Amino acid sequence: MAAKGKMKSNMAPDVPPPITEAVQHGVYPDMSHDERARFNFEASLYKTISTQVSPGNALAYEKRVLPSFVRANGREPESRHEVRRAMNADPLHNFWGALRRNTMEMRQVNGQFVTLRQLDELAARAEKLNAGSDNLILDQSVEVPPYVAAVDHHCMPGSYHRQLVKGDVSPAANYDAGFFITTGGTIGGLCDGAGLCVSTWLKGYFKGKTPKRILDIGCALGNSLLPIAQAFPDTQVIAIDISEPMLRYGHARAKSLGVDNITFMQMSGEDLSAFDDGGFDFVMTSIFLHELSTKSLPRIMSEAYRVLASGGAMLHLEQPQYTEDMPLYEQFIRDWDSYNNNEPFWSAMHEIDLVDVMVELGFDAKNISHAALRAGEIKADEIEDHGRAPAWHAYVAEKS
Amino acid sequence: MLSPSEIQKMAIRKAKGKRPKYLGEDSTDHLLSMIMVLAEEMAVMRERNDTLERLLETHSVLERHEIDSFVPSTDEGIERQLKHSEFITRLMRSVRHEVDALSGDNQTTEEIVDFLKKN
Repeated sequence: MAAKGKMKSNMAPDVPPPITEAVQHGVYPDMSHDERARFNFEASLYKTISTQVSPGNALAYEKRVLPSFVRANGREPESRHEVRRAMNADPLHNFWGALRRNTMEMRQVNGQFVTLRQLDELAARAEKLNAGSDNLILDQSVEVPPYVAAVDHHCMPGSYHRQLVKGDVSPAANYDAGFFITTGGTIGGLCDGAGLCVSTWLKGYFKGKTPKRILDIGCALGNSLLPIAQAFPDTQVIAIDISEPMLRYGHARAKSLGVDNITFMQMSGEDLSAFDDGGFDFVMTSIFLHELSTKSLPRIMSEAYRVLASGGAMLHLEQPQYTEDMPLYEQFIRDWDSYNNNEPFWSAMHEIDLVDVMVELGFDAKNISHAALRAGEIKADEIEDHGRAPAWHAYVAEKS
Repeated sequence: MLSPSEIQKMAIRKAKGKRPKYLGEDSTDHLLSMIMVLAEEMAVMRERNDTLERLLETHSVLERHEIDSFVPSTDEGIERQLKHSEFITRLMRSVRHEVDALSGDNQTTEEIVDFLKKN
């Protein structure tokens, strides 16, 4: 057997890396042998279900669900919701769903055991890294908005903001550890693949110039923002979120990784009144919009537009919107997380025409573009597992 | 600091909202969840065993190929086969009981209750 790291790439088995390959930064939770082994098993479960069982969904639709729908109704389904209702009666699709849901729940239970048993130690480690810093600004008057309070996102009990002890960072530590598992290591040991894509894009966009200020709305633990802050070390980067645990952990994590140009602030994207009009050269959200609500999304976009400088750019990283060009089956399978993985706004959000929203804010339609971003190389024969590949859709708008 | 029982209670907390049904009967969904957790623990034990083997090799207690080339004595082999047999018997308990019931022992508890009342 080849030694670790010496294996030829074409000989390397196609398996997700073990959790020991994740970067163990200063607030990374400790794990026992068996806790790590559980995460390893879960990473493998995701990958195996995705490559071996997921293709059965499309086959079941094509071979029996669609023909039987057409027989019963004399026509093809007219919406992804009709496809969903028809697929929900298919045994293979349901079994796949049960496997997928259980895998997520098992990953959450493992992450909860790992972090709950070291609540105080994690809080103390974060506190030590955060002490005396001007780059962490908490404001307990910021309320948890209803669209966050109502949902345990991705089956994560307590969501992003639960606080059990003073200085709690456990929701972030759990999220951080599990992220490497649910992404199967495809976005890197720091789960920063999306951020690396954006930072590469940004370097091209700013063409050697240094942006003065960057704002990231809904930064969570900052994993996507770090490579951007590192690419522009002289830029003042502001990261806002409503969750205290995420901000404490995010700041401590950045500090332990040697990144010191990000100010983490507790603030809702719906109220950026702390910032002047036009104060930022670049405003972004990363895999964030689908966790909002119908009313909050335009409010956040409007505030983002207000604080963006003329000549600056706004970028939102998400999955592609459902358009008429997207086959209904693809819309349906992309929508699965909305109904089964506690992402209730996912479905409605992907229906919203973000270009329309941006035009309404005042952007000129000709200044709005799309960019397909992918982490690393995607192999040509890779099975597309919609919405779960390390690939994103960037909506970019320049303010004139 | 949370107590072990508090940790257990919180770690398995349900995410907000009604959990979707996948396999029709609730009991079937429960069974699948249990099988997946058992499979996970089996994989964890295998990884632990692998760690042990590697550590034993590092500490020159044994070489890993010795495990694959190990041939038990006749008695040892029989002892191990008995363990397999006991395990499979336990695993097959439920289906075995159904077979037993078909062989005649199929009196219901209600019938026994009735029998005891009358006798």
